[in-house]
Amino acid sequence: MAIRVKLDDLLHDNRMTLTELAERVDITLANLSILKTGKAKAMRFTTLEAICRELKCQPGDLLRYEPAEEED
Amino acid sequence: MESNMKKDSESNDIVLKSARSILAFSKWVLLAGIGVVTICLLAIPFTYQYLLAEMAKAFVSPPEPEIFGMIALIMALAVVLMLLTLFAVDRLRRIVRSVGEGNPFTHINGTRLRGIGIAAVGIQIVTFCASLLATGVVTMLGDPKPGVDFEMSPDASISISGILLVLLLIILARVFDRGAEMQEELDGTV
Repeated sequence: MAIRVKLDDLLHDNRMTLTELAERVDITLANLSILKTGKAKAMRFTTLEAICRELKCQPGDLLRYEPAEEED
Repeated sequence: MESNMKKDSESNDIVLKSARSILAFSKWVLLAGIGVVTICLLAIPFTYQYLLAEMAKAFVSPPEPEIFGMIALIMALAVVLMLLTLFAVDRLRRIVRSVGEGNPFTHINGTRLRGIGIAAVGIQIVTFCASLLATGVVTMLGDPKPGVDFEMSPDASISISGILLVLLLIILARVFDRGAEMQEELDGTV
């Protein structure tokens, strides 16, 4: 997947744990882990909105397109 | 939590419970049927002389011993028919179980439905062949003697509902394949 989710960096910048974010955005820890590890196939706008709201960022800060990683 | 509640309500569903019971019962009836017909089939070489004598009492023209070859073939086809039905019932049981577990949209269920479809084709062919043979047997037996009550009119024809069932199963298998793809996508959606 050429889309990299930079949730780790954002959590670090905001000094927040994944569990804390999961509680704030009302998404299960399992689903957030899927997102964090880059295993997610799709993301709802509602999830994106909640994460951006809690981490005070833009969608572009969370997602990054890295085409080089696509060539496995 | 919501999915667990859904799972519980589905496994307690009266329709699912009934389906499970009916299919389990059908499985045992079929197994018993296969056993009985196989025993009868194996008993033919030992009992055919007695049966021939009984037939000679009941029919105007005594049948030839070759008739037992045809009867044995019909019985063998009946065993094949029951095995195919057992295969279909077993696959259906697994599908029903997966519905009870709350996850019916899997590729394996698509494969199972296709298997049932193929079994349905086999059942149609075997039934048709057995009906043709049965017609032959009835013709060979000829007219019964006066006072003997014998009425049998096998009907060898292609069943329209059988063809529709096969089509339905194959289309449904595709629906399940697509459903499985959608389920995978949904599972990967955060």
